[in-house]
Amino acid sequence: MATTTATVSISSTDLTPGMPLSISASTTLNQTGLTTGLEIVDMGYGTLTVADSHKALHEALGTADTSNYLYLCNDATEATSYIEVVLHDTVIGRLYAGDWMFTPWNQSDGDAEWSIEAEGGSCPYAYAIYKSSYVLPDSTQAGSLNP
Amino acid sequence: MATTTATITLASADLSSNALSFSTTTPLSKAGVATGLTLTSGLARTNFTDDPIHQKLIYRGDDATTNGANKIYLKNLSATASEFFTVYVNSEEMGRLYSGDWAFFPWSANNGTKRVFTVTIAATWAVGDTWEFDGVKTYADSATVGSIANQIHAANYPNWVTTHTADAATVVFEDRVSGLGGTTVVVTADGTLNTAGNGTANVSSAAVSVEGVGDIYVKPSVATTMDLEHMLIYQ
Repeated sequence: MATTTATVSISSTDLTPGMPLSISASTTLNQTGLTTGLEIVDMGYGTLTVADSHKALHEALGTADTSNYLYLCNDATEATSYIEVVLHDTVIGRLYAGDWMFTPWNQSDGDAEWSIEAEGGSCPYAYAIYKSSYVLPDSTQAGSLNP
Repeated sequence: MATTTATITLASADLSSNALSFSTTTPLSKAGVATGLTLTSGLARTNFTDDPIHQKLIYRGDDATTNGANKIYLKNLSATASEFFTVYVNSEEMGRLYSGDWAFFPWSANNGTKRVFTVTIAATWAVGDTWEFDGVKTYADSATVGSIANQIHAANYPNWVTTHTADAATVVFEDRVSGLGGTTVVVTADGTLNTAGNGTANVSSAAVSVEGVGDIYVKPSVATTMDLEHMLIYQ
């Protein structure tokens, strides 16, 4: 069992007048409904260009109704460059330069697919997907290699 | 301008053979610029104790600027490992927030459109004539159509806001929130007119509503009490 913690801190001295804001939350990324940790992670880095259409961030082929988490960060430095983040066919939001997101993900099929598209300029991005299950695909050579 | 920062740290000592840890910090800025977001719903806690279980609307698309650099924070305050909230953006299921889990994500706040219609006060009215709409009855204190329209505009309607040019015979009504009115056209019969003469309050509709696709809903997994902590930071 692995132990992975996700911690968020949101703070401001002047967003709420006279009342400094300081949120800190930490959670262990556990398997579905349990207290044992997730053990699978996919991480990557890439660059989206404006010329690209929406790209699927990852196959949504995990087991339905399980614990999965998505981290995505727009590493662009131009303030006007953003990543449009879409869940299935619904626009969730825009990750502007430097912005990040962390959400649960009920991956199961194409209806749960996250897709991303760069607008305003190229966007380098980093992602990490913590998931409950992953099944290795059958090898295309399976027929010839098996005795 | 406010300065708000959001930091995430993802760390594990044993997920792989080498320790894994990374951290990202971002100032929460308005769309496409370096000035900070200045508006917030404030940090809130919503209790769910519903039997049968049903979802609750946490943020409506109307609550923030569409396609702004809005951010939403959610946290499941339950201490029971098996209890979760399912998070939806409109009808799209995002995922499950289990006990102690939190989420932080951008929000386009795609709202719908609002119904709009115009009511025109015309013909012969008498003092004491009434027009009732949305549960609000207006008693004419004058026989002048412009004055009656002034009165209709001055009233407070639970589900509508009005615009009006002083002493004009028309009043424009618009839904307070988008999408709730369905696609039904508002007609003259939706208001109740009681006149001693031949006064009229005819309605002409300009638009029906369209449901928004950005509303944030949350549904608990159990009917026993669960609490959700949430905050919207927006422009």
